[in-house]
Amino acid sequence: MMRANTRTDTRNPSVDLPAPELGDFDVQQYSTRRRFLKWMIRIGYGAFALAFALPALALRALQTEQQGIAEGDVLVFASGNAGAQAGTAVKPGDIPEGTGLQVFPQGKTDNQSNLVEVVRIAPGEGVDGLVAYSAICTHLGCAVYAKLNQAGHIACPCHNSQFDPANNAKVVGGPANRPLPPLPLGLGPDGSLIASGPIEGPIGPE
Amino acid sequence: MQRIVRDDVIVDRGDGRTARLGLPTRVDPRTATPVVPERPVTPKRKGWLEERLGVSGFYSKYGRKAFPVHTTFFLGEMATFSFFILVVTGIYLGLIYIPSNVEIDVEGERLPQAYASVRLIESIPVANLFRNVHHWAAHLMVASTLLHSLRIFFFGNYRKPRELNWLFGVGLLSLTLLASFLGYALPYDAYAVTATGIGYSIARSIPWAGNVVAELFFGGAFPTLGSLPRLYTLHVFVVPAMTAALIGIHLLLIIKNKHTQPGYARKLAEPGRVLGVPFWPYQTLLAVQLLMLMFGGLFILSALVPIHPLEAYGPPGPETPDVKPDWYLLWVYGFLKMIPSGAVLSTPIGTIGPEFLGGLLFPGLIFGLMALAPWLDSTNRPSVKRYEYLEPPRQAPVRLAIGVFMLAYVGMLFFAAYYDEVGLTLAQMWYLSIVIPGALATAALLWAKWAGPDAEQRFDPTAEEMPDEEVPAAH
Repeated sequence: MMRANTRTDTRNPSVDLPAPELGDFDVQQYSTRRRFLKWMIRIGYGAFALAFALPALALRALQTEQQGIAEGDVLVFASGNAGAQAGTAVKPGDIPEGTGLQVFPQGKTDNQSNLVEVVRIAPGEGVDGLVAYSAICTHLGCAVYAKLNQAGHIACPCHNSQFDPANNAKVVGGPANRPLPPLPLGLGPDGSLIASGPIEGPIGPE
Repeated sequence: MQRIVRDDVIVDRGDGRTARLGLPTRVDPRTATPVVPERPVTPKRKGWLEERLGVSGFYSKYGRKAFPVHTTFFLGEMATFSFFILVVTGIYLGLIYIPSNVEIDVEGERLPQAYASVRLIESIPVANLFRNVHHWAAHLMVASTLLHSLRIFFFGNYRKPRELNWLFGVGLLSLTLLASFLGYALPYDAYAVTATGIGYSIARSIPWAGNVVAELFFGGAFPTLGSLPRLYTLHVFVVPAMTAALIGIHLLLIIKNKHTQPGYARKLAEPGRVLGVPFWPYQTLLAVQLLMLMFGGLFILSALVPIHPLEAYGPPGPETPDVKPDWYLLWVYGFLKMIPSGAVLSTPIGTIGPEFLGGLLFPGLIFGLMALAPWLDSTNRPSVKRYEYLEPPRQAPVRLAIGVFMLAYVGMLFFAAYYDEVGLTLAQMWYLSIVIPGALATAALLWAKWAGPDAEQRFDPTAEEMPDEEVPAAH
C-alpha cells in the first residue's frame, strides 16, 4: 500500500524517498496557481485558433459589376431562336399566342439575373396580352425553360417548379414557394418591346 | 539420403569436403557431422538508414501489424488509393487550369478563362487522359468509401472500441462528397455553372448563417469574379488537406484498435489476436498490387469512356441545361424535388424554406443518424465487451432492417429525381418513398428472425474466450 506524501525514486521504484520538506509552501495556493496557468494556456490556444478562423469572415472577393433592368431598356433575343439572332430587338409580333420567349435588356446581357421570360397569354395589339417575368426560378436560381410546358405553364429544368403565366406566375407545382417577379412592359418608338420599369420584386431565391 | 533445409550449419560430408546445408546439396544425415565454421561469423553491419534512424524499431512497431486478408477489407484501401490518384492527377490539371471566369477571346469565341483552360487540357492528349482519370477516380472514391462504410455498418463494427473511428469515417465520407461538389464548378461549362448556382442558393437558404456561409464558399453572389478562386482553393487545398489529415488519424486508430476480423479468425487464432499477414512485406505487396490494378483500370476506363467532355454542355449561356447531378448527389436532388413549396417555417432566426430542408437539413439528418449509430445501437453500452469480429447480419435483425430501410430510402430518393418523368404525382412519390423501404425493411427483419441462429449457436463477435469445446472422452 502506498503511503501518502511519499516520492518514488524513478530509477529504483522499490525505494520510497522521504517526503520533501514543504516548509511554508502552500499546497492550496500552488494548486490554484497551477489551475490558473492551465486555463491561461487553454485560452491561449483558443485565441490562436480564433486568430486564424475569424479573419475568414472579413474576406472579400472581387465582384463582377452588374446592372439590373431599368426603365427604357430595349429587350433583345437572349439566344438565337424564332428565326432571329441573339441580340436583336424583340417585336410584340415575334411571340405567338401561348408561347414564351427569353429576352435580355440590351447591353446588360452578361448579368444572368436580367433574363426575362415574355409570354403571350392572349391575342392583342402592342403589349396587350403580353406578360413578362424574371426567368430566374425562385427555388434555386436556375433559368426557367423558354418554352412553355404542355399545360401552358412556365417550368424550371432543375427541380420542375411550375408557374402559371396567366395568373401572375403563381406557383402551380414543384418546390418553389414564390411567384416569379413581373417586369412591366412598354413599346419603344420603333415598336419594339422595352422595359417600362425594373423587375418588381426580388429576383431568384431570397 | 535426405535433404536438410537449414542453411546456417556447415557439415562435413564424410568424403573430405564440407557443405553448407540448405543449398541444393544432397547430404546423408548419418555420416554428416557439424563442423566449426571456417570463418568466424561477424555480426552483419547495420544498414545506412538503420545506423541513423533506427528503422528496425519502426518496423517492429508498425511493420508487423497484422492485416486480415478478405475481399471487403480492401474497400478502405481502394478509397485511400483513389484519393492518392486524385491528388496526383489533380496536380497535373492544376498546372494548366486557370480559376477565373473572366471572358476572353479564344479563336473567335468569347469564353470564360476557366473553360478555355479546360479546353486546352482536353486538347493535350495526356492531360485529357489525366482529367478523365481524375473524374473516374472521384466516382471510385465516393463508391469505395460508401461501400466501406456499409460493410462496417452491416457487420456492427462501429461499436466499442471503434466509435471514434466511425465518426472520422463519416467525416471522410462527407469531405469526399464536399470535394466532389466543389470540383463541379471548375470546368465552368453550362453544367458546372448550373450545379454550382444551385449549391450557392442552397447555402444562402441556411437560416441566420446563410449569407456568411455563401460568401465564404462562393466569394459573393455566384457567378462572380471571386467565386472560382474560392472554390478552387477549397477544392485543391483545404478539403484535400483535411481529408489527408483525417485519413492519417483513421489509419492510426486502426493500428491502435486493431482490425476487426471475419468470424473464421476466431477458430484459428486465440481471441483478441489478429489473424492476417504482416504489413511488411505481404500486405504492402497486396496493397501495391491493388494500387497498380486501380491505376491500370482507371486509365483503360478513361481511355475508352471519356467522361463529361466539355462539348457535352458547352460554355455557360442564358439557358439552364436540363441537368441532374451525378449519382452520389442525386439523392439530395431527389429530396429537393420532393419537398413541396408549402414547406416554409418562420423561426426567430430566419425562414426555413424547402431549399434548406431538401438541400441541407434532410441530407444532414441522414449523415447525423449515421454518425450517431454507435450511440443509438442498444447493444453498444459502456459496460459491454469489445467487438472484435464481424457479426453476421442475420444475427442482428434490427440493425439489418434499419440499414435496409435507409439504403432503400436513398434508393427511392434516386427514383424521386425522375418521378415526374415516369408520370407519378408528388403524393404518390411520398407514399412510395415510405412504403417500399418499409416493406423491404420488414422483409429483411422477418428473414433475419427466421434465418437467424438460435441462442446457443449465435456467433459471439466479442473478444471474450470461447466456451470450451467438448472433448470426446477417451476410452
